[in-house]
Amino acid sequence: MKHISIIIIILIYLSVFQTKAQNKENLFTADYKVTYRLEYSPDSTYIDKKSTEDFYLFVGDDKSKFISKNKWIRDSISSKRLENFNGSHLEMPKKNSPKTNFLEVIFKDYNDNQISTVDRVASDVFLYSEVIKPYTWEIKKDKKTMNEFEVQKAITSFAGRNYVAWFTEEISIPQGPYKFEGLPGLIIQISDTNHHYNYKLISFQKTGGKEIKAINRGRNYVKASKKQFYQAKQDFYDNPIPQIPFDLTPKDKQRIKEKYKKRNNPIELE
Amino acid sequence: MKSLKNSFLGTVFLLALGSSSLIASQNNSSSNMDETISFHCVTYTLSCGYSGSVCDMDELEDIEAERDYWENELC
Repeated sequence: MKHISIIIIILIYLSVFQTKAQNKENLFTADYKVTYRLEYSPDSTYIDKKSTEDFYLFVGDDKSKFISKNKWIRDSISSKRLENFNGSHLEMPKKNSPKTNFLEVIFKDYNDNQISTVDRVASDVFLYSEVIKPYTWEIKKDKKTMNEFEVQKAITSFAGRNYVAWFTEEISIPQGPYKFEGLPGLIIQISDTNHHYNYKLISFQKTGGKEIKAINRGRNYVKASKKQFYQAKQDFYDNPIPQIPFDLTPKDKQRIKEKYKKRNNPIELE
Repeated sequence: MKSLKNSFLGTVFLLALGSSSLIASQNNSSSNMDETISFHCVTYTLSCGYSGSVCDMDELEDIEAERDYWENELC
């Protein structure tokens, strides 16, 4: 009897520690938080109409996370709302959350050399993974001062667009916004040569070791290739109404169709 | 023997109680939300008046993420 009780107690403790360990695995320590502002043209038929959105890049030893600031805020508000969940109904938010046009979250993990992108299309949450391939950067001699840093020019091509980047060796972190990386210092600005997507650094902070949620691979993602994901997104933008689980008014249907029709200029063209 | 059995059951009960409350508190922290409870159907309302329900999702965070997605996209 004594032995059985000891075994059961050990099993219970093990299950508790396993849960703790699993939760720990979903976090990583970020030493730096970089904030970028993106100015972009969401509609390729009206390039002069620009939108802006801010992004956070959290950088750790071997992992990073790139997320829209507004999505970050929305997720924080959601987490707080869940604490008030009554078991069957989620009340609508009292405080308006900031809107985002970027639900994607980009995780880099240098242990397995993977970039994992999580994004949502209607009710499906997609995960697509890519191998981290080195960019072919051409570093130029041009130098200037930007955000009080001495920056140097570099050029590259990525996913159907040509880019000009300005990086600084004063911050020796080979990272940048979106999926960009691989220069001898932090990217302070990067823009495609047509100025459809232009990321500019707003702030750089040391976090003192902030715990950041990493990708949760135990989730029920729709695992797809990048091509399959972009196709699913395009299909939704082309014909959104059947995938929307609400009985929309004719006016709302029209508004939503118009809204998605204007999202036709993704950063990755191929 | 009886007192040993009672003591054993009491210990298991307290440990089980302790372990589940630990899971709940960890899962309800803002840094990491992993619900272990299954919800059959949860209804929700968007600020623009539309109501919906999500069924057969295991994680509360997924349900809230779905609600928040439509709130962001439609309202």
